[in-house]
Amino acid sequence: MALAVKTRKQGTPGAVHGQVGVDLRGVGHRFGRTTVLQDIDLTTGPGVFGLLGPNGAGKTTLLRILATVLKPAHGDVALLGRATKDAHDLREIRRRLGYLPQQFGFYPNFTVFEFIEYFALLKEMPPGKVRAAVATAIQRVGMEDRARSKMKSLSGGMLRRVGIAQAIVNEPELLLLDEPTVGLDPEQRVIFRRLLREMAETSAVFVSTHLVEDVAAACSEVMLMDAGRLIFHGTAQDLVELGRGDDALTGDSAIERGYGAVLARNRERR
Amino acid sequence: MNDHRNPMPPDVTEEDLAMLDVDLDRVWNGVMGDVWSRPVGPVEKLARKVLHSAALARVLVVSPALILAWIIASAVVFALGVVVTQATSQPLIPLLAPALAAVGVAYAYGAGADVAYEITRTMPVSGRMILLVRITVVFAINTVLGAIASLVTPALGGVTLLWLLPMVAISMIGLAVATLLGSPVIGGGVALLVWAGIVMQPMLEQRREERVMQIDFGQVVSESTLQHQAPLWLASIVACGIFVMWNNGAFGANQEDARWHLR
Amino acid sequence: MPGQQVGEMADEMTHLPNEEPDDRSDDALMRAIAMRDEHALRVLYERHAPWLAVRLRRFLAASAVEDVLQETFLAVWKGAPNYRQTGEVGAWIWGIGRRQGAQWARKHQRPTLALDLMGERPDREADPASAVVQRNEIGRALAAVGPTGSTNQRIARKALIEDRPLAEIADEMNMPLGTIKSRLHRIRRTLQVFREKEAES
Repeated sequence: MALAVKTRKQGTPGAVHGQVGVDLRGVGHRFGRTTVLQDIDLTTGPGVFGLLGPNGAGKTTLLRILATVLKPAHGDVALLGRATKDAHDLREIRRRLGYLPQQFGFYPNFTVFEFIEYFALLKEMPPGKVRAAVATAIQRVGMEDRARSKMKSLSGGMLRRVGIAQAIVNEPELLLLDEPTVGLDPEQRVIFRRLLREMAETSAVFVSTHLVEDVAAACSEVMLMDAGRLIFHGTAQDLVELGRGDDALTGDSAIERGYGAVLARNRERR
Repeated sequence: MNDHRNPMPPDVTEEDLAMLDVDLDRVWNGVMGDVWSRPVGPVEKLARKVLHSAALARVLVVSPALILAWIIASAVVFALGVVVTQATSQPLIPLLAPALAAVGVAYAYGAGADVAYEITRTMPVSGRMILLVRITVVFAINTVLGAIASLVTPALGGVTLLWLLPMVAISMIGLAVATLLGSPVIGGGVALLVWAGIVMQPMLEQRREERVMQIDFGQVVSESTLQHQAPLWLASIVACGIFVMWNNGAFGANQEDARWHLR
Repeated sequence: MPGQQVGEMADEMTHLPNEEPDDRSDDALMRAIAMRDEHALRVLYERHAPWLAVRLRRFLAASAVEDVLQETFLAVWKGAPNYRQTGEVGAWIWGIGRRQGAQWARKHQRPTLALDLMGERPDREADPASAVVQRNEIGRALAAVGPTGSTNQRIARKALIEDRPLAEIADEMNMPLGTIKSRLHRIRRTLQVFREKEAES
């Protein structure tokens, strides 16, 4: 378990320039007087990282900080080996980034292809490569039959898949997905998990989800958050171990029991 | 040439196929990309060269579709203005144009900011530039519609573009307020009020001085868009511009988060 | 770790519904493609792209083959409404493929490569010897049309070997289109006589 040892490095943190992964040190954030994140220390390389936790735990805020949507009130953030303070670095990070928020709006009269193409262009992909990349993304999320349909004609699950497509169109090294499987049927979730595993070698993927089997099947590491703190960071198996032998715990699966165990212990401590 | 169940021609063997180092899946993606997409139009091609950015060129080209409601509304208002002007021989167009532009800028800001906002915030293309492109589109359409409207009305003789400076200034004031309060509607409303106030001044003066029932709009127009107010217009444009840029992170700070309720 | 492995294995074992192999004839597929059926294009692609790729690969590097293949199947999609049902879809596709290949070669300043591609005949076995034989044939045929460097020879080369559109040739050679057409007509007759003579000998 990676617990924070409170040392602060002078100067900007972060690994080698251009390396895949993130490095957060002492990150905290608040909205008004409410503290939403506290003492987040997180260092990863490539892989798929599941983000679990109850509502209000700060998962969405953490993802927003990783996506460079929010600047944290304190702490240092380094993404893909670059600090997020310099405008040039920020731009380079964003070219290699993909983000799907929990709720997103869309221009209703855009077709699926046009919507994804719009963001591919905004991500400053080389214009000659955009069309093929958009087609690839559409096929990876299984929306070939609707490539020329208007966004307003799509169901919730289809919209989410288009959202995933826009996030992956530039083959990002840092991919952030907030509840990406909402509205997807089981078969589509299988396809999605395969997609994640494909990306695990070359990218750092952070997935916030309530669905435990998503975590078990696709994530190399799991992070558990509660009340703005990172209370667990390890493998899915470690989480399972922590739930063993405690009959008071409820939960359909071993991971859910582990999740319950860690939460309970953390709340006792507080 | 061959049976479709066995499409291979005789000169192609199993070994040939096994040794093929061509990525047929990648090619297929390329084909579908071409099948599904529309070719880039001449306007967008020109915009790419001028703006040095395929991204901003696309923003420019899709902007009119995003603000279509405003374009139609403006056209209607201008048309009504033409009708009234021709009936009363009073120039109204220069008074309408800045108001419509301010509404357009606020609308463009809101439409661009609300929809897909969070995703757009993660793009390497700066939000400032996108906003600038959208505002330019609003001004361009406003100027064109207004020029056509004034062409059709003889009241001031020919095409007048007296409203250009007030157009930019009032729109910037509206944008600054929208940015400050996080509400395009309030921003647009404040801009309209400010402009209404400026226009009312000469009207009230006329009433007081000459005690006339009929207001001379020609004089109202020249008072409202008056040259000696130009420094005032310019100052407000610059001040609002700096404020909006600061708000969008131009000088390091980024105040947008709280205003757009990213909680 | 076991937890992850189990999940992964479960995913692998989940069978996504297999599509029935499409049994439509090439002509049926072409009719469907003319009606903008993208699935039909995919079936046609899976059937014909591999052998087309092999043939092109004999002349071009893998990345060039990819570009040419893409242009070819885009042309198939666009040209489907105009395709006359002759039952020879494969030959039609090959025609498009080698023309696109020749165009690629010309764009990359490799005119002899373009010649090779256009000279390749679909029912011949593609071995180096026959390629040489073909090139000799081409040389003799051109000589029959006119002396080296003559207008007739140049027109023959551009129209029949490089397969350029006549309007382009007229432009390049600064001659009226009508003149090019009538000359070509005479050139074709000359070549026919030449071929008959060759067949006799």
